[in-house]
Amino acid sequence: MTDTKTRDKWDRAASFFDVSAAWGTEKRWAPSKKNLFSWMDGTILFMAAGTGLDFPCFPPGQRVTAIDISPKMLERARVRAQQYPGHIELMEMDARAMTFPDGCFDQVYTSCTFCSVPDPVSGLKEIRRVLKPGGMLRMFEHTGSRIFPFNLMLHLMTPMSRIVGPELNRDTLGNLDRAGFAIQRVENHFLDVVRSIHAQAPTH
Amino acid sequence: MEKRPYFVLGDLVSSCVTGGLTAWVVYHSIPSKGSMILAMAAGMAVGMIMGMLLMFVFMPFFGAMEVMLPVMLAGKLSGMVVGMGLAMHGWSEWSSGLIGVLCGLVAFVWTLLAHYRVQGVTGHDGYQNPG
Repeated sequence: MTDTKTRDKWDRAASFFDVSAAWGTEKRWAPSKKNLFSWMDGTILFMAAGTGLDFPCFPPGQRVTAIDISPKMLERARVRAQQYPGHIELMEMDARAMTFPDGCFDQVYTSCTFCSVPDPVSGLKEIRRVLKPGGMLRMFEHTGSRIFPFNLMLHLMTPMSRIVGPELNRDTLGNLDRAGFAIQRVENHFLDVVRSIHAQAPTH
Repeated sequence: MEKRPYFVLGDLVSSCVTGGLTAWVVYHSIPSKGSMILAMAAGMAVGMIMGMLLMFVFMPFFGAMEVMLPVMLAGKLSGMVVGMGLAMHGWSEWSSGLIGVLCGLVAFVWTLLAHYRVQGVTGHDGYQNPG
């Protein structure tokens, strides 16, 4: 069942999302995202497509299934999907209740997704379900920090950031462990906050 | 952190501007004689609010909320130091502003040093290089 509270929040955010998250953010993270997405191969699921700001960072020629909980976000993503030199199929879906059969994707990609999914461990378990055994989850995420005073500041900023969208103090590596993924590699891009994470689903 | 000049300068300037503006607001809102502890706490509160407001100004140019940590740190640091300085030494408007900008610089360098401790490819826990 779709989480209507989350869907409505992101529907509201859709109108200003490109202004708040576009130029500075996309310019800043484009090289790191391109590097992460360069691993794309096989059947690919892209979580929380938003307005499709990440699509220009995808390597050309891929077939990608991209989902988002918000129909308003997907409306805006449609134009960017059409401009992509490959194929992107957009679908409205809740990350925690996907309608895909078990083990149907080789790889799953996320980009600033698990700062927003309300119950991240159940969302990650759902990804594990749709991944083939040994399939790869590659994430570009911002997480909480272990470094003082940044950890404290992220905790203080989270009640405000939660209103408009993401949480800033998530323990995403811990959540991956709890969801049964084996973390293979972590690359820090900004402090220990903005990171690329490579994790593998169990092989059996 | 970033190596591209646009973002390095952006982070530096946004931290220093936040530090300077916070100092100016603290100078005009906190009495120059009074308890040092209260002035420091009030300055920090003003700095937090300034950091949060200015973050939204800088975000579209230099990155999302999560990279605005130096701006937030600059606001808090500047507010605390200038609040304390006003209570203890009665700093002038110019001195307060200058100290505020320096606090912004300190916040930027602090973030930079913390970043380089954990930068690059790291192991499975995100903190130690493999092997």
